[in-house]
Amino acid sequence: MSGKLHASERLEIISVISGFFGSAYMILGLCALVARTSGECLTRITPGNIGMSILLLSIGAVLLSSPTTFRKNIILSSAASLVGSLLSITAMVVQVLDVGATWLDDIIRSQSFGRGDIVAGLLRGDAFLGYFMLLVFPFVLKTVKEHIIR
Amino acid sequence: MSKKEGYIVALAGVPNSGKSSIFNKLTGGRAWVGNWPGVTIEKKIGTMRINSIEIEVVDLPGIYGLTAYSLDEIIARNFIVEENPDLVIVVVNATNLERSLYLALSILELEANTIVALNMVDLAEEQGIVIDHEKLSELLGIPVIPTVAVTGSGLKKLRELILEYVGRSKGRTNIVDYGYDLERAIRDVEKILQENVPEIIRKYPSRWISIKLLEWDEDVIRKVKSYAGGNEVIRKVEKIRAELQNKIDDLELFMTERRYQTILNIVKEVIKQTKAKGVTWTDLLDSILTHRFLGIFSAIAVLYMLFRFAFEISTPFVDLFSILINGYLHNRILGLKFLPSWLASLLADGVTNGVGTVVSFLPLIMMFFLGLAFLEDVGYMTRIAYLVDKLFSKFGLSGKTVIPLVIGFGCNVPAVMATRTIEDENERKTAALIAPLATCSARLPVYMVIAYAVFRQVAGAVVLSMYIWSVALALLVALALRKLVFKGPSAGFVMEMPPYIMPRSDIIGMKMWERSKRFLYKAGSVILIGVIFIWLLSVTGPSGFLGANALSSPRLLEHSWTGLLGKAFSETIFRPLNWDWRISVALIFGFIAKEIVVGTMAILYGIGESGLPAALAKLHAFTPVTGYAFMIFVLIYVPCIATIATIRSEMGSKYAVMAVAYELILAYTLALAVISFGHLLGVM
Ligand SMILES: Nc1nc2c(ncn2[C@@H]2O[C@H](COP(=O)(O)OP(=O)(O)OP(=O)(O)O)[C@@H](O)[C@H]2O)c(=O)[nH]1
Ligand SMILES: [Mg+2]
Repeated sequence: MSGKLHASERLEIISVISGFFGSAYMILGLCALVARTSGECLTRITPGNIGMSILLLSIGAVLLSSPTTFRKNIILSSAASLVGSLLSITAMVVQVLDVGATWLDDIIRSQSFGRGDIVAGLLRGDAFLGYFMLLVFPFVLKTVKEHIIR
Repeated sequence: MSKKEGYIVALAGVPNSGKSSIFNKLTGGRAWVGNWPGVTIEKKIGTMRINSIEIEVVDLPGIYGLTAYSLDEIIARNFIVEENPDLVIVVVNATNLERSLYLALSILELEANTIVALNMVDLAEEQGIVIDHEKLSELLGIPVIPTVAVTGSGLKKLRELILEYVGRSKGRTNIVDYGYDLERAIRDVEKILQENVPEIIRKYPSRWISIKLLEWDEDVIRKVKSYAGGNEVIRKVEKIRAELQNKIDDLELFMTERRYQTILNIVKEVIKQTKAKGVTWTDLLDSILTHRFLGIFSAIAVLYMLFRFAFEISTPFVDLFSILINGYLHNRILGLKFLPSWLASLLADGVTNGVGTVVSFLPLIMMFFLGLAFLEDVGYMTRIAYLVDKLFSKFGLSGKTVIPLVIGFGCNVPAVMATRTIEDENERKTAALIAPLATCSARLPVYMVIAYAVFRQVAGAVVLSMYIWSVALALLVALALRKLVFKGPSAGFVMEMPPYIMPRSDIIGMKMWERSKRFLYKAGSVILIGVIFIWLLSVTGPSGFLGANALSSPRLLEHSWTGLLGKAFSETIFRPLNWDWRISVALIFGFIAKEIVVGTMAILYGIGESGLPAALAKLHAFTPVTGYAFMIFVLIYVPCIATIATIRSEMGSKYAVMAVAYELILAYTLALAVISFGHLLGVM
């Protein structure tokens, strides 16, 4: 299907996707901040955590700059999609590893571990959004490689 | 080849061209490599064996030409010019031929016996650059061999060439033609040299000296002046220069231009650009990663993830080590009935607890080193330097200072040495004096223990805050030093940005292991001796041997030597800080190496089944306020002995004393501020 699209159309698609996910990161980042300070905010996926909030907001800012710079600077725009998705995938991997490490640690210290904790960990915002970015990443990479590099 | 032994081969080249990588492949050595200019800051010697012949290979810091500006460049320049190696291998960066050729021409002018390793041809190829190495060899008049240092491709051929060419003498090459007037002037100066200072041209080629004199090279002028008759020569050269300047305004510029003209002609003949030049991956990534705002956001994300990677993912392994060492091993030793009780106590309560607690943090430290090696090799360090340059310049520092600081998060000793690459004297001294504020890996166990003993839920954030303090204090102290001691204008920021490369697992693994090995070695030497000493002082006192159970009896322990020493401090200068006497003892011995702080606490507090943090928590050794004050104190107070010694050897005793003094004062003041602040808020 994508073969029929023009280069600029494909690039536009990835910048729109980045914009969509960028907004999602931003919202979750703000939620994490709200959850930390006052009340509840999508509590299932954003435990109050300043570090996580800053991480989500940073990734969100990079991703969001893709659609906003698309008309002015196509290179910057596609770089934002690329770097943004790399960052979000790394964040997801780190979170998943952390869940594994916590689980292992509970076993070692022979404490009980709840399946609930694992699920909650794997569904946390930084992991959750990362799964989707992992899905779109091959498309981002391919498009950038074909249309921007050289 | 005439003689068989004692040959010296030097590796020269522009920074980041792969000299150390080639060195490692030739000698089987472990020279430090990394993807930024200025990794090597000291010459390193190794031995290469070919057909039972031993040849010494010297890895040098990178240089752009034979005029040196920073300390590391001076080391390289002096070696090539003064030590007269039997062969110089110029490592040329194939992705940036022009830059590398400038150095190659300078070395050829020195009439050194030279061959060229055309390195990084793989990266060049990726960029569509194909270099005709045979043509290049023909134009330069010396052998040129394409290599890829990281895979070892071309290295076999390089060895053969070394064997073939080492020890040959090299005649004159007039590879750069400086034009009619200047060439005549060069000949005139050569004649003057011959008549007035014949000794100097036995040591250095006369054409080279002449060129350098006409260029008004300070270093060569000094050399000539040191000979009898030298002043006469300089006077005459001044006259010749004056005459030349009637025709050529800027002599130095003119000569540089002639060289670049030669280079351009060579490049035109040897380079084939197979693909149109366009946006590379590096360009693309840099448009975000060095962007004014997005670059900062990305850096925050990268560093935060790195921090999480090291600290959170190592937890189960640290716990496992701790259980095995402090739980299992400790109890097994105590259970050995045939050991006399004092020996069992020494082995279990002293060595196992003391050293073991430190060693149990090995997984954390290894993960941290892994992350550090990745940052270094992927090429991100120079980008961080670039990003913070504006901020750093407000504090009178160059962005380059980031590199010593980041290295300092591993260990302060190489951090102090890495400041050598900073050209400006005042900036360099400032950087070296603040380097110990980079919170090194030896301080990590202390943070971890206190954070988990006192702060539990927010332990990660508390440890992270130490890194923020570390950088903030470094900047503030730098500002003070630049305003009060090392005054002077700031030099601009010039640093080449290397292309990003996918780090190779073998190199990263090697670097992680080398750093971890040093940690283990330290645990088995300095720290071991330290904890034995502390154990000894804890089971004895003015009344003699207190018994092996002194460590488990607070009453007895208070009358031991450590008890008396600790009290002497905790009741006097540490009194306002509200620390237990055991803490004072830990801090005093931490002078030697900061890991000993944790080792000492492990001995004096004893470790229960669930580790030192739990033991500290149970004894209420710290409140959040005194705990945080303690962490701040450990962050700042005196660098370890090794770092002090390094500052001393790099800069002199005066500065070593200065570093210790300001750090003690700062540590005490800030710890006191934390305590007072806690009082104020009513959270004691
Ligand atoms: N792809 C590729 N990478 C290389 C090659 N040679 C070296 N590198 C990498 O380039 C970086 C620089 O290598 P070093 O050996 O540290 O360079 P150096 O010339 O010693 O650098 P300085 O000591 O800073 O002057 C490292 O990350 C190496 O892994 C090569 O032929 N191909
Ligand atoms: Mg090197």
